Amino acid sequence: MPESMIEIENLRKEYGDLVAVGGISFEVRAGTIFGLLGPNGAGKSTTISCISSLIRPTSGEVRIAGHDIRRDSVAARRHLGLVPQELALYEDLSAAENLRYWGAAYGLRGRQLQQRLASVLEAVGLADRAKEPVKRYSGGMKRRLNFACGLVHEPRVLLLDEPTVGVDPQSRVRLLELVRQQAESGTAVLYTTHYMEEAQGLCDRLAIIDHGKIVAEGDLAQLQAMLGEKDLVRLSGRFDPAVVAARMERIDAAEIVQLENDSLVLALPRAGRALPEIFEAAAEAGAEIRETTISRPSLETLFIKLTGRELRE
Amino acid sequence: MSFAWITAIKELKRRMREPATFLLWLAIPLLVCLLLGLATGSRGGKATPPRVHLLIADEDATFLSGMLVGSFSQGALGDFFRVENVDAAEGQRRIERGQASALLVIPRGFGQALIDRRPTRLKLVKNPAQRILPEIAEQTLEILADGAYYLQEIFADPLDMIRRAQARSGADISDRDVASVAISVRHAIGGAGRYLFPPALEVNVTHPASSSSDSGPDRMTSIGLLFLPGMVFMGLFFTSQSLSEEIWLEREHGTLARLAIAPSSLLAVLSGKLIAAFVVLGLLAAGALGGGSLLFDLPAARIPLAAAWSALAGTALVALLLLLQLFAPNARAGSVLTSLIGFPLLMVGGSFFPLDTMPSFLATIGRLTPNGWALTRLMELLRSEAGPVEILPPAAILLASILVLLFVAGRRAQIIAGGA
Ligand SMILES: Nc1ncnc2c1ncn2[C@@H]1O[C@H](COP(=O)(O)OP(=O)(O)O)[C@@H](O)[C@H]1O
Ligand SMILES: [Mg+2]
Repeated sequence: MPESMIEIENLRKEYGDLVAVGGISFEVRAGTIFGLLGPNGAGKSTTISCISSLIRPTSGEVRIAGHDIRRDSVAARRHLGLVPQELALYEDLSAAENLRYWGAAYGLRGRQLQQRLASVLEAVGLADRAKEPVKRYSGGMKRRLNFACGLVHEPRVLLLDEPTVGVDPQSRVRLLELVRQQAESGTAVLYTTHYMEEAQGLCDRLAIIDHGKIVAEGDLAQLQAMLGEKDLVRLSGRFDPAVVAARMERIDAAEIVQLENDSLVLALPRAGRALPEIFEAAAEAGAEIRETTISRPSLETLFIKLTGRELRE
Repeated sequence: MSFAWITAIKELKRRMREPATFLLWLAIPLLVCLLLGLATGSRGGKATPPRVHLLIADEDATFLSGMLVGSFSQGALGDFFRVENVDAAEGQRRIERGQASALLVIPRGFGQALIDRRPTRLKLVKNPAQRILPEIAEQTLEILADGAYYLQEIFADPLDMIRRAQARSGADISDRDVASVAISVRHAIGGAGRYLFPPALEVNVTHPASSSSDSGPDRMTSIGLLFLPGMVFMGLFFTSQSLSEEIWLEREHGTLARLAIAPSSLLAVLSGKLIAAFVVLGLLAAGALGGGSLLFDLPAARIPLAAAWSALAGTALVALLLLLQLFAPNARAGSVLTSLIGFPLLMVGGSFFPLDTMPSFLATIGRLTPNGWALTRLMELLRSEAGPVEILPPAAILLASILVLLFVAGRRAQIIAGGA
């Protein structure tokens, strides 16, 4: 089994009464992409900040390539590359000057730095505009440069915090391809996102995080197995929760995931066929239905099932 | 090459991309020097400084807004600005036609807000076709705005009285109120306030009441030596303040956080910034002293050492201001905090008002302030009372202070980089 490059044990970060990260554990192995999937405010960025030693965790352990991030900080940091959620660039400098500076911050000098510069610029497709000041770049170009700055020193561990937010589709495809290449070359990648499709297509292993806790973890197949073969049926309209709940429970194999005055979410196998029965039950319970949707099992539906909430607010 | 040097080079590159700012820092003390030269009829009298054509729409029309308008047209600033009163609509039209450098709109309620010590907002419309002149207007306004905050603090008592009198009797204020306010204002001015105003400077331009006029050669008492070093220090202060404010951009742009997690230390980064500051301040000091030496006939051979000393003193100041910025909760507070500490020091320490012309007890205090102390050494260098050997121990003191400040700043930066 490949070497474990990020090891996190019982990581916890509190801001006063607010628990941003509530004791999470996971590990990421060399050459794999680990997805941390969760809605805004779930604690993804806080986790990344703790791993990169930017903020001090309230408790818990973080090891990078075997080095404790607190006790053996410089050795640990040398292996780390971070692509922060917000752009972190000098806008008045050019792409090449930015990369040269960030490379130097990781100890690269001279020819080695020059070579890395050229290959990274090529990889993110900015080689022909490398000498222009960054402030003239488009949003997508800045994102790509922000990405390049995180891997100019060839880190063995790469932390990516929602790198595709606000990126045009073309740049996005390119970025995801770059992430895959990094993993193929042996880098351990921690990738946070709130885009399901992205996580589904990219990650070897996934953890779903909500309110600072990991609510599910595994590879895609394992996570989908957790959901079973059930579809999700979402009804919106007007309901009397107590009456509706009592009536719906009588439908075979149906499970109520969420129930409020104006919405009802059910999980059940082959929902398409059960629809008439559901409508009938709703009518008997005096409910008024305005809209119905059925979704096939996916990470999205798993998230809703686990947390009772939509991933995207 | 160490990361500190690499950082210094990067910082200098960034500074050079903004030549306008650079020139402006140089321009303020140099223009003041030029004016002094003109006012005192010394050489180079034909040159006239560029003037900022400023339109002012005073919608407030109170005593206080009048004072603000007046501060642009009277005293030392009057020579930089040509002020014309307009109404806002006309001003806007003329700016759009490019007929002035900038338009300042003083909103209704400005004076009352100042009295109530509430924040208030001035509007400055800049002529987009010009670069330097509108910039001077903006910078001056910012300095005045910080000054206004400072005045509110100094004149807290009289302002309080006015407010209470207003509350008691509506808009009418009785003679007795006026009298007590006047006394209290006099009181406040009798304190530090006396040295704040350009008029104080002006009086002394026309009557250089030099106390050392009979104790040395002519040159020593020349206007140049009297005013130039203080002006240079004032310029260095504004430059240092801008340089220290850079750290907020690094915080807001996330570059400080990115640096904080790299294996290189933030101490190296801050050292690099100070090295760059030393170079920038050295260039500015050399420019200002060099320009001054042409105007006032100072011996050019003393300029390099004097500039190096000024730059070192300025670097210590940057280190101090940087530390203050790192403890301030936000950029605005950092600016006020550094001004609150800087302005009194500049005033007492001989930059607004030469040490040699101060009452002796004040001059004694002034020489004890860090900047007054550094300024006195600069005077000695310019008068050839001290040379490279004599300046070594003071330089060592400065260097030691820089290192201490740097160390504390490095620790603090690491803590706040995570957004704490
Ligand atoms: N510096 C801070 N002080 C107080 N609360 C914070 C701070 N940083 C983050 N939080 C809170 O911690 C929680 C997790 O935030 P974050 O890690 O940024 O979430 P995500 O990246 O998943 O959107 C949120 O509730 C957020 O408001
Ligand atoms: Mg985040």
